[in-house]
Amino acid sequence: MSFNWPDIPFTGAEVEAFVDAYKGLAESIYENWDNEALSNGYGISYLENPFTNKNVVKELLINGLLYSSFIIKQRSGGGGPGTNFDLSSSPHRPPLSTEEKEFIIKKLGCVFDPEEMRDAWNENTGGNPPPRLDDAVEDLLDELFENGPTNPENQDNEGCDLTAKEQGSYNLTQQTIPVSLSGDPLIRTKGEVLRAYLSCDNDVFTENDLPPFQCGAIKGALQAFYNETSNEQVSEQGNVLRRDLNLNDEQKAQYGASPTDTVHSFNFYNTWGENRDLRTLFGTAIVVVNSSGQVVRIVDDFDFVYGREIDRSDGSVAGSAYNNNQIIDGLCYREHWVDSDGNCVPVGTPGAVPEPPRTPQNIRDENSNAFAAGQVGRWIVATAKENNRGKPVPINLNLSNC
Amino acid sequence: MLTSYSLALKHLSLNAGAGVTNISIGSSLTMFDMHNFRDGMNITPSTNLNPNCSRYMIGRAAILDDFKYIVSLDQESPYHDVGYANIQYYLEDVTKAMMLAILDGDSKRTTNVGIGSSYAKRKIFFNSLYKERYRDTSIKPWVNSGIGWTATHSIVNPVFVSRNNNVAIVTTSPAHGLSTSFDDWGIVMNLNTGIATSFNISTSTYPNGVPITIIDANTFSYSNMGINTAPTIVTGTADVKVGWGGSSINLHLYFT
Repeated sequence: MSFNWPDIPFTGAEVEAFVDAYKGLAESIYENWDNEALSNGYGISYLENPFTNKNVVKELLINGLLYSSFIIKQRSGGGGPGTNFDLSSSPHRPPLSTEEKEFIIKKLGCVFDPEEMRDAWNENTGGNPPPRLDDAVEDLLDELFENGPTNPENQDNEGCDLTAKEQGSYNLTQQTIPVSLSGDPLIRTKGEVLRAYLSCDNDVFTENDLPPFQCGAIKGALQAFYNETSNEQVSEQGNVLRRDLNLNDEQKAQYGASPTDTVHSFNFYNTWGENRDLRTLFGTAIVVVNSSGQVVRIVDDFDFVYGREIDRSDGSVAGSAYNNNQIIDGLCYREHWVDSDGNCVPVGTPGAVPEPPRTPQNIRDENSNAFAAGQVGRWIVATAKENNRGKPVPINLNLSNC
Repeated sequence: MLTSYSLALKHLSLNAGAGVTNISIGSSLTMFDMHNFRDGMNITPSTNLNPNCSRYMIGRAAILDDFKYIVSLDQESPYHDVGYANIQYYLEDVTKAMMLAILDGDSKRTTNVGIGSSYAKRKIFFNSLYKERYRDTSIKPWVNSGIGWTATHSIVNPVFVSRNNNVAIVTTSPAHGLSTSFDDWGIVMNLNTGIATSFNISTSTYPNGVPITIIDANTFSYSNMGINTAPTIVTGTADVKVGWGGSSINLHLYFT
């Protein structure tokens, strides 16, 4: 596919050199896209989402030339078209067709007041997608489950086999297509641990359950979190990002830490955790760091306040094996308080207020939007709880060799 | 490509964020528009694609093996509207990435095409558009010093600050030394105590500072939300940054 470059109305040696370099680089980006834009060998794109489509980027490259050339012209000094309101020298004077004028006037709302017209334009043309998400969701569900998700024949709530909806959600997390958010290694990992939870597989989830790239991605995200935070640092959301725990050697050993290691409590319920996808997988966790400052282990219990949790009142620690008699209903179904964000929190939590125990139906009602962030997972976990399914999964990842 | 997207890509920035627009209706429709980067200080690529929608589109494409659901400019999709404003943001991101890749040094204020292989320049281009966690911080534009985008130009010493109608005015001593020949100066305020800290700039939100307007040899101003504050003695420093541009990068457009 060839590039249809616009004419550049600016002149000068600097502009010409820049334009030549721009065109050459743009065309080489396009030609080498398949080898260089997707980068980690697993088909996972490092690029921000709008730039994952080769042909979209091509259009942006073509249309970016004019303004960048103008900047070079300005930097090189001297006058020229586009620099002032001498209308005869404007670089953009395309005669509008009748259809284009009609389009613009229509979008302007036919209100002959500048402010009103700007508002109308913004409302009619700006904004974020999607205008018909509900329909789209329904279509997706129909196609995901061939005979329709409400067909009783497709429901399998017995034992610990995954239902069709659970399997579909799991599949979504495991895609490795080039532009995939769902190809994100941490989301893949969450999908795998959630499948274990729903399948009642409560074996300790270790690094041996992960391919190297997922293990490496988790370590990288945790290392960045550790490097960029300090003890008791408070996030923009007001919670403490990291606490350095003062433990004796015996306590450290419970977390798999040596006497020279340090042990830290990380909280990912904030922008820092969100940006690294750590919130969705861990929430909060205990992290072990060696004497060289390298993250070497993370331990956590993968359980749910709106599903089932592990009772650790026997003194065992997160990430260690447990007995089935330690499984209890999630906090939302027991006596609890609720904080200002609507989260179930222990009785007596400052700033929270009492709330009656919820039911799984309450949880489902609160999470009925099938494509709002996190709601699908909560809907599934609450339904599993109602059907007496799901076992919390201890996570204990030795990251030393990732 | 849709006509509406094509118009958007031609810098029809008919909104207050991207330029100044004047429209008159006489014997014919006439529009004046002044284009500039939405954010003249920064290079962070846009992430304003609705994440839920994005996840849905990608999931759908993967399951159905049909990539028409990925962002496309060629058709009116019932499922996904990129949005004309977003198209303009993406265009700015790619424009900045190309300039970072092509131009010498930190790519600021220069017209010189940099020396380097095409491969090295492509790496910079892609690096400029990577998600934060995948960025290579050893090359442009994310290195912390030298040719890095957020490298500090100089440090000045504020001695008084005041605020009126959400505009902060800073007096420095000695003189700040910033040339009025450029319109792309930015500032990161680091004041120490009391109400002065309300003038500070968060580098997590504004990694290359916020744009300033130079008033005279010792004072400058910048937009800063807060209560009106009389001139107050302060201690601390302010990091001076440089953004896009030079003398002016306002591109004037005219349609009739």
